[in-house]
Amino acid sequence: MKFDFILHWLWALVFSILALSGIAMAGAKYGWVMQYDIATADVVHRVAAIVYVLLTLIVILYEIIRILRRDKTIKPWLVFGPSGYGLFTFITTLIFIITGAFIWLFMDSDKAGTALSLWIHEKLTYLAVASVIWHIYMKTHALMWPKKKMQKAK
Amino acid sequence: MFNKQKKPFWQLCSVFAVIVGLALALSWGNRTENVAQMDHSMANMMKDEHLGNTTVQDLFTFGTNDSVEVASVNSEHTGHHSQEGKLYTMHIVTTALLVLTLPIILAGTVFLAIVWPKPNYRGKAK
Repeated sequence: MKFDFILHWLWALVFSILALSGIAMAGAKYGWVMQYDIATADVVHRVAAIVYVLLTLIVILYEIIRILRRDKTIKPWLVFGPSGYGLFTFITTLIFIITGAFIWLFMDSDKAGTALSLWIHEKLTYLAVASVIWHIYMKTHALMWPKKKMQKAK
Repeated sequence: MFNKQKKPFWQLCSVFAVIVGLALALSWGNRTENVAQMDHSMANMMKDEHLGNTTVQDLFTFGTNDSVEVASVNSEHTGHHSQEGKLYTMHIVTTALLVLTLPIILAGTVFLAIVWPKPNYRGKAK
């Protein structure tokens, strides 16, 4: 199995966990997502956030190594890219990580900065979730089982 | 009118609709729902409370904002927490990982921001 394919689906899984636990904490309106268990949502969100940060680091290092090796092979499953949805994911990921780290580290010492970071973090979540739905719609063909394999199996 | 190629998307949508329906049905009778009276999101509430007349300088002013009374209550409160539990260890490890990886991610971002816009950023084809 290809490395970029594994990274893509691992990323999708972690992002889903982050989105669900984050939306559960966003306000009372959405608490039903995790049965109003905000404490568990907080722990799950923080642990998933670290996996997300580590995945980001891996994807960046992988891309840098590819550039240094002058590897020109097309990696359709790679999460980040210099254009299109890959670039959008890269920028939103960076904003998520920076604002998330600010909330994490300075929640008790800088209320104004935390308020702004939290506001950006939440609004960006809605944008990112909407974009993921659009991304799935556009790449629906990837969800189809390969016809050749089906025919061979028959 | 209905695009057959997009059929898996709508199948996926129906699966998610069932999951959302089940989650809503399970939380319907949850008593805490009645207790929760906040209509705004956490971010909107914090924005209203702390970003009213904030300057750019205020965003980067660090220090305890609590009053002396609140601070003393908090310090008493934190005293009751065990700082040797698994949760505390996990907090330390995850915070350390975040602080350590952040500079590398930012450095990598700067590198990609310089290299990506170049037309032959992976070198010339052999």
